[in-house]
Amino acid sequence: MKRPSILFRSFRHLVLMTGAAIFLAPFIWMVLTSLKPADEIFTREFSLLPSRLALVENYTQALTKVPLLRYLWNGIVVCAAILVLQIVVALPAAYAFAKLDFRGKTWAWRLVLLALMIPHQATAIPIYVMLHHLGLLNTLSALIVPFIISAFGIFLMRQFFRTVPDDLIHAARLDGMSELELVWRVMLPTAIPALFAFSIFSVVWHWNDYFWPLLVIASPELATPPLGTMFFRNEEAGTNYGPLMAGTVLITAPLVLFFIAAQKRFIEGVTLTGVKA
Amino acid sequence: MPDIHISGLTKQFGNTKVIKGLDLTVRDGEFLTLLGSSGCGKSTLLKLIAGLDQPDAGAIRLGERDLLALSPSQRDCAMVFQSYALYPHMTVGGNICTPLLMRGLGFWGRLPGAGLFSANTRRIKAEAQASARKVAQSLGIDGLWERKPAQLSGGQRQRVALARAMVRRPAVFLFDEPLSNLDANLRQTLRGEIRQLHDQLGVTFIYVTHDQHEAMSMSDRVAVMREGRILQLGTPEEIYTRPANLDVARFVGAPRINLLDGEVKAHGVVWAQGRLVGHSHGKAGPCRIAFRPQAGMLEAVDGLEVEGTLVNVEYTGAELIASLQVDGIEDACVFCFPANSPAIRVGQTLRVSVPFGEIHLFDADGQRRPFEALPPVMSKAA
Amino acid sequence: MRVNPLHTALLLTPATVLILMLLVVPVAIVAVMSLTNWQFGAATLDWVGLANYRELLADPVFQKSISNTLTYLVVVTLGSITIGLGAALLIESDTQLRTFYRTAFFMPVASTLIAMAVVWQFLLHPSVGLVNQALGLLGMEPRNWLNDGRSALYSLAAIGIWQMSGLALVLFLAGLKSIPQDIRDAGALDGIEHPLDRFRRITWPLLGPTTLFVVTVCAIRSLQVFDTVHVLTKGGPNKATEVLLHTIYSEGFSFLRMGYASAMTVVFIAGIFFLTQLQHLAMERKTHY
Repeated sequence: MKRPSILFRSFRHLVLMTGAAIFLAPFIWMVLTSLKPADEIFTREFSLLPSRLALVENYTQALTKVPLLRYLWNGIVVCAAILVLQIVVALPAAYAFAKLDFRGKTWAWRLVLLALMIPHQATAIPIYVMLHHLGLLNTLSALIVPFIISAFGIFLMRQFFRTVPDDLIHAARLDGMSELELVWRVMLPTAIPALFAFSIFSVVWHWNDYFWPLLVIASPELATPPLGTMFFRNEEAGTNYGPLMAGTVLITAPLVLFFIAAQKRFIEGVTLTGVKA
Repeated sequence: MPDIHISGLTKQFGNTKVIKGLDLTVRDGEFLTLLGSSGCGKSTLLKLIAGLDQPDAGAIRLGERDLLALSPSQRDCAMVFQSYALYPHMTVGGNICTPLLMRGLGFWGRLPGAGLFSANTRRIKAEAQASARKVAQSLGIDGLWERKPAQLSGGQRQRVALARAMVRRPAVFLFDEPLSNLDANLRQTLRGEIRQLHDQLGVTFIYVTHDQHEAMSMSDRVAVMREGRILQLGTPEEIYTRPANLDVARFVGAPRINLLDGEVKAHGVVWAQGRLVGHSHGKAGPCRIAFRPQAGMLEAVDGLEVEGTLVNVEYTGAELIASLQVDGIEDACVFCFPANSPAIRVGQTLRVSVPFGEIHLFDADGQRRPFEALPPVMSKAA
Repeated sequence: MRVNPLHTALLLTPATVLILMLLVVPVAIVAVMSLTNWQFGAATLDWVGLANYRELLADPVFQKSISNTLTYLVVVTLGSITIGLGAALLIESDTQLRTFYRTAFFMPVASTLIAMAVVWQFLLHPSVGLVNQALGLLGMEPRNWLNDGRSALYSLAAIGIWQMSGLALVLFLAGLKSIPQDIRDAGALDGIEHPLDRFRRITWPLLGPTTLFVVTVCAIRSLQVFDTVHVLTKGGPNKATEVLLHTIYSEGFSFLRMGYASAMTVVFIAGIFFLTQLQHLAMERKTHY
């Protein structure tokens, strides 16, 4: 590749840096505002940095007004539960589709492909009603149960399993393993890279899900981060921006920090799909 | 067209020096092959000549012109790639016309729809089509004009790549291992066609390959490369019969040349396998003796004798390839005997004679040393 | 390999049952429900056939919702792929700071949209928001972005573009990487040197399948816009930002007219289905070359 000229290099940096600044501006402004006291926020003047640090007040208020840490905890619990259950359900099925023959395989696979095309919001109404009748509304179960099945997880894992040599499975069977043991002792370890990407995809997706918690959760103690943010904002009556921004910093931090730490993997996981939003 | 002079060329990627101070003169109109195994820098050298990459130091001149100052398309080089590099979204016709269109049309002519406005553009496009058609016909791919590369076989794609290069009538043709992806028969056919093309066009061809058979059979001269340097530059005959060092000797010729240890004693006397084999000027000390598999003879003649156990015999129809394990020589010696030789079996003891004249002598560093074979009369062990 | 059918069944049953129970059957129920006038909590329901759909066609709120959603979709998709492609080309053209730029543009995709929506609400605040303050510095008039019927939808679209461009960028980067260097070399030798020429004759055609893929990805995500609307405008002012999912939400869970909302959901599913088919087409063409 020909070495680009200084002129081009500068142009490129100018354009991209401007873009990067605009894209990062909300984050930077969010953090800066969370450090400012109220009088500096509501001024007509434009100032970048706080002259007086209100870090302690803002963050304390954020943490005490609403159970912020509780929201984060709920997020962790719900996402972890969903992920684990998704893997438990999807992995054996993916193995069966990849390596076994059985009657009705084509139809079963078509079922999976059909499921792939169903957007999650489409099933909201009936599942809501079903949960209502089961008395599960406003519980963590309501957040977890509808998502135990991930057709995308089955699709992804199957594709991966197809690349595993049959001989490995033959050897395991000769060693006396049952099918179920095979899945967990042999297939799972080989699938770790794909599982990792899928985990990121699933966790990011469900951590950020707002629609479903909005529907089924009414109590703040059970809120996940997105819903919790809304409770928080409504509490703050929309004018107490300092603590409000402090709250959003705390809520956004986990994912953003995770992203910065594991960028490549993160991007791989999220774009794995493109299919499911 | 004048010669191409390359001097002091250096290229490094990251911390690895891929080309180290290379000098080479490519004569006008010759078929020069850059021969070496992967990583020796031959493809890099080709890309530097083409202008697809810039050297860190050194010069490339075409006669008086400094090529390094020119962009790839200005250097009047055409290249045929290993992967063909055809534009997948264009038809065969589109692919072959592209170089002519790019050259003939200016900025305005290249804009879509330019043909509607400018008669000149239309003319240039028509001329390009005509030239391209002619070239396609000469290569026998005229019938594929409307197809896309994905619909063609490997051999067809290679011909389209060739046509795209030819249509520009370049001063230099560059080939980057163009036949590696083809099966053996196709390779043989195309080898002949490429050589014929060279003779027809009379233009400089620079060809890169790791296949020594290809290099030997097609080239006027071969540059054997290793680790960014040229080990030897010469005609195929020179490379084969007078390899400048052990690396070249081992790389060229199949089966591989046989090697054993010898010693140059006082007064330039050369000893191997317990006998006198010849004389050599220069330093005394350990040396390496080499001879080609084809040099071995089952009849007793004046020469170096090796005796050992046969560990492998391959009958190829045309010849017998025998591997002999000899005491004092680490690797088995490989010999090629004519198919009508007396029958030999694995496990049998065999004595093979190598005429003194067939011996190559190298010093301990691997460089060729002058060697005078012993005249036939004085061959008895001292 | 055939194994004991009981074992196979064991492996497959959980997944199959759950797919049916949680995905397929509910969708079927939605379709059926759309033919009724059921209200949540009601004891009885009536079959009304296609009446719901007829009502949809005549419903001005639904019309507005569809038109808003489509406008949003077009603006956000076009905006995201333009910025994504432009940034991808610039990033690829040199080696300096690639990771930094990619991270910066992708950060919005990785963040929690709801939280950032709250931040955006602050940024777009008529008086103390950063956007209006910055405009003030440049000598321009501040605007009430989210509360003005003329600018509300486009403000939301801007947030959507901000959130989506990074995704387009990353997908385009992958697409650019898959263009073989050999073809670029061949182009250079043929005289395709000027960046615009190279873009037009090599980059853009070879990016075709990727572009189609990115368009469908952005379109599908845009069609599902809900979070920012619910958090920032609730569909207002005056339905200026009413979008499909939000209308479904209101009808089904505020007004509890679940039969009617089901009919809207069917329309929604149809839209997604159409775009998903396009996406499969795009994915197939990706392996075409």
